[in-house]
Amino acid sequence: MALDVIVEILATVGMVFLLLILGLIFMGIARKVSARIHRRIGPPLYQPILDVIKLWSKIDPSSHGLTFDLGSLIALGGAITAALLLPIMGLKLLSFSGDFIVLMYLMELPALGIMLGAAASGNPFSAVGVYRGLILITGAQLPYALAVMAVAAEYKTLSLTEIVALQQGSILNWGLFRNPFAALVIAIIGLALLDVQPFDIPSAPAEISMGPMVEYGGKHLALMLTAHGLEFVVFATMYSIVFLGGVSDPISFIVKTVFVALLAIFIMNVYPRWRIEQAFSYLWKYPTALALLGLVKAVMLGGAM
Amino acid sequence: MGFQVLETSKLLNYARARSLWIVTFCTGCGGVELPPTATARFDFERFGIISTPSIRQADLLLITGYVTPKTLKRIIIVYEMMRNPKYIIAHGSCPINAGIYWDSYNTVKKLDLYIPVDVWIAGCMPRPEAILRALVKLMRMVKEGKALGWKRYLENFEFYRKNQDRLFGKDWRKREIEKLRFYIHD
Ligand code: SF4
Repeated sequence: MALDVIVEILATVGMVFLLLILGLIFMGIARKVSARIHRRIGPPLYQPILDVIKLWSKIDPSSHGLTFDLGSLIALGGAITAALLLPIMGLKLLSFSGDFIVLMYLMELPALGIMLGAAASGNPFSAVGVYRGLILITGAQLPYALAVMAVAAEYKTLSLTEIVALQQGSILNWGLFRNPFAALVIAIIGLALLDVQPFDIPSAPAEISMGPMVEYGGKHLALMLTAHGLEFVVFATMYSIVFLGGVSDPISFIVKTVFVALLAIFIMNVYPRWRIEQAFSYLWKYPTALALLGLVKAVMLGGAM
Repeated sequence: MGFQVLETSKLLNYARARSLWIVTFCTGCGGVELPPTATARFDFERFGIISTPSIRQADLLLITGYVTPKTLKRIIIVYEMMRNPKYIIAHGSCPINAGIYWDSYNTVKKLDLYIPVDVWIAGCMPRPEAILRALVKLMRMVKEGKALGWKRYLENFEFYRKNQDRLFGKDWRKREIEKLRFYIHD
C-alpha cells in the first residue's frame, strides 16, 4: 500500500518534470521552425532552457507585492494541474469521470494568472494588455463552450479515458473525422488561449511591449516561460487525445503533439496580428457558427458516422 | 546601495552568455544596422540573442550612436531599470569621443563618464559584421565572468552620479519622475 503511494508520487513528479522540459523544447521548436521560415538559422532547440536558467540566475528581483508574485505561480500551478489531468501513455494520475470539463477550464488559468499579477503591477502597458486579454477571453468563451458541448454530445461522456477508448479501432473513429467542426473550432480557440498570432493581441510586443508581461523579469519571467511552454504541450496533448485518437505510447505521443504544435507554428508565422475588435467579431462569427454546426451534428447524428 | 552577490558557475555563466536579450532602444544613426544584424543574412538569434521590448527582461543595452543630454537621461533611467547583471555595448565613434560631433554643444563627448560600457565598437557607422564581432566578444567576456560593468556602476555610483548631476543639474531624477507621474496609476 505504502509502496503504491510512493510509486505514484514518483511517477507524478517524473511526469511533471518531463512535461516541463518538453514544454521548453516545444518553444525551442517554435523558435527554430519560425527561424527556418524566415530563412534564418535560428537558435538551438534547447535555447529556452538556457533562457530559463539565465532568468533564474538574475539578481535583484523587483516585486510589486504579493499579488504580483502570485500571478506567475498561479500560471504555473494551473498549467501543472492541467497536465496531471491528461491520460498520457497509459498513466492516469488525476483522471476522474468529469476531467474533460475541468481540463478545458484549467487551460484558461495561466492567462488569468498572468492578468491577475499584471493588474497588480500598475504599469500602463500591463493595464492595456489586461483589458485586451480579458476581452479576448470573453470572445473565446462562447465558441469554446459550444465546441466543448459538441464534443461531449458526440462521445456522450466527459471522461478523457473513455473518449480515448471510444476512438480506438479505425482511424475514422478519430474525433477529427467524427466531428470536424468541433475539431476546427478548438484549434482556432487554442491559438487564442496560447496567445499566438493572429491572437497575440494581449502581449503585442511591438505596440504595448509585451502587455501584461512588461513588469515581469528574472525569476517571475522564468516561471511564466515555463508555464507557457507547459501550456503549449498541454494543449497539443489535449488535442491529440480528444481528436487524434489518444496518446497511448511514446511514439504516438511525440508524433501527434509535435504535429499539432507544428500546425500552430505555421499559422503563427503566416498570419499577422488582428486588432482586438477584429478578433472579437471574428470569434463570435465563424467559430461560433461552426461550433453550433458541430453541436447540431453531434445531437442529430449522435455517435454515428 | 546594497551589494548583491552574483552566483557564478560554469553553467550559469554559459546560460548568461548564450541568452543575451537586447532592449529595443536606439539612439542616433546606428540603429539602421540592427535590422540586417537580426534578419536572414546575419541572424543574431543563432547565438540566442533576441530583442525584447520590456526593459525588465533585458540584459543588454545597445547605445547605437551619438548621445545628446536629453537621450542620456533616458539611457540612464533605462539602464537603472534593467536587472543585474546587465551589459552595455556602445556603437560607433560618437559614444567614444563624439566622432564628427566633436565640437557640438549638444552632444555627450565621453559616454564612459556617465554609464559603464563593456564593449566599444569603433567606426562610423559599424557594419553588421563589426556588431556581431562585438556581440561575440561580449559573450566570451560574460562566459569568463569578465563583463563587470554593472558592478563598476554599483561600486562607483558616487562618481557616476556626480558626473550626471554636473551635466543635468542637481535633482534631475526628481524632475524626470514628476514628468512620468501622469502615466503611473495606482
Ligand atoms: S558614429 Fe557615425 S554613424 Fe554612429 S552616430 Fe556617430 S555619426 Fe552617426
